[in-house]
Amino acid sequence: MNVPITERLAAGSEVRAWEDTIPFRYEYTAGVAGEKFLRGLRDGEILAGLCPSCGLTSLPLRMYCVDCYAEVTKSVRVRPAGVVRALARGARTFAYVEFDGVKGGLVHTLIGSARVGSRVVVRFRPKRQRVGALSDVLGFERSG
Amino acid sequence: MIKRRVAVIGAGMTLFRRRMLETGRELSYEASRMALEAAGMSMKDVESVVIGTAPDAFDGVHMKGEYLIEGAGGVGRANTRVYVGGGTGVFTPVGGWWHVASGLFDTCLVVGEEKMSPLRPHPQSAFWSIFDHTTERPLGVTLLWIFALEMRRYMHAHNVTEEDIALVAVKNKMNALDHPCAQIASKITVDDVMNSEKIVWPVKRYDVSPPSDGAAAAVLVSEDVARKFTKDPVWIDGVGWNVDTQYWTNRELCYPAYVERAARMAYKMAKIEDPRRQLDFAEVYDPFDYKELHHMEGLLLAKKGEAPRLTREGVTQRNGEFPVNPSGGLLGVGNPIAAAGMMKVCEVFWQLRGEAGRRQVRGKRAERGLAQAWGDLLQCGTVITMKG
Repeated sequence: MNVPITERLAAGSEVRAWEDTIPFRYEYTAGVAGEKFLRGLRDGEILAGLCPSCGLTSLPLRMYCVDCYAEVTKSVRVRPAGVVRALARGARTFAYVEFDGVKGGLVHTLIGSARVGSRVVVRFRPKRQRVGALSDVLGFERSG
Repeated sequence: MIKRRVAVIGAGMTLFRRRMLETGRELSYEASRMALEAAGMSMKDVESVVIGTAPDAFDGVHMKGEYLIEGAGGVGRANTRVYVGGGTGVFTPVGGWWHVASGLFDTCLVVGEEKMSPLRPHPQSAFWSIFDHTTERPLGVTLLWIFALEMRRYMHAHNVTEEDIALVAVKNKMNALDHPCAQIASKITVDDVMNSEKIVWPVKRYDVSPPSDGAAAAVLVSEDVARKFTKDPVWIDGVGWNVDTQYWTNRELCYPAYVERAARMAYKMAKIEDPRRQLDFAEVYDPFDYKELHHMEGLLLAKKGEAPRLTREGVTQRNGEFPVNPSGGLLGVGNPIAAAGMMKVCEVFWQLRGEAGRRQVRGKRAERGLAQAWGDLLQCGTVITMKG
């Protein structure tokens, strides 16, 4: 059944109107922690923050502890194997994955098939193709 | 009515630079951590957070208040973003003030942040869409164009010369040489200003503050909490804000009446009848050099048309009778919008605590000061008065 939508103005041409754009272009810095995280990807590593105060290991890597607000300067390599917590299926399938002993997780493309609860590994691009960007990761792939 | 006194017990700020590696969150974190350390507090002591940040278009992040919340320490707390354009920096502690004065919270961390460098080629393009779409936007105007109109109107109304106005840029950039976070401190002359690049006459390159990245923060607390953490609180004794119509064509450009209304609100609260005598100095919003003069008059620190003469006679120098912008202001320290106004509040705090080092007005601890910011489309004034 169609749901009707009633418009007051069906077309802009019925009244005085013009088209315009707001031409914004950006160049973002990844930041202190982001820089470290992206360089880690280039080296084939997932880096998480390790809080010197409360001991929390968390993703994404940040310069502060999300729990106790202490400054986080130390990062640790996360074992690149985790568990699928949620999936979104469309033209591409995205998986939200958490890693053992780490608060938070990462979203990326699911390679092949998996279910919520499946164990997956992080699949990186070949070393020579990595540039220090999220695209250095191809996605998650079911393990075992 | 106002229920409780509100104290500032700590302040901190990052470097102001054209382009910082730190993200907006990271800048917010650094400023907040410094403010908490100065207060002798940890985040556990903080009940509420007010974040001030100007258009989302600068950082290039929509919902910037939500984006900054982690760095500013607002996660899991009563967190609010406030926004009144360029007036946001001083409005941020005003927001923090009402959190505490109302009795709702004993502590409030207030954080001003702006990261303008991501927007290319220049952050000015963020303002293209703020103009009225029927009467102005089709002209392709920029903010500099409207500032040129306002500056020219001020010059005409009071017979002020470009050289008179340039003295403000010379003073503030010189003051900023003593500010450890300053972006464009320098010793320049009136001739340097006059010979700098014409942008939109009469506005020239050195009349204008730069775009910047940075953050500044302060810790606001109730009187009971203040007594626990310090013997030396600084009190916020007056706050005021006022917003006019966005149709700037509906008001006299040579005088910021909305700043006067904001100032009168703050002065009434602080029981200030003669601001020039009862205040020791002022941090007046100076994104352009003529704006310092304009705002001094709106704040009733000078009669209409009198601010250029006071500047010429040295009254507003750091060692003058009434120092204006001893920090170096936006013209010298830099202008990360919301952080710049917040920097002024931090400067008043440091001046009243005797912690401003070589910037200390007349070489000694001040007793009473004011910070002011201005924004939206030439339409908003925000004012805060503080005393030691």
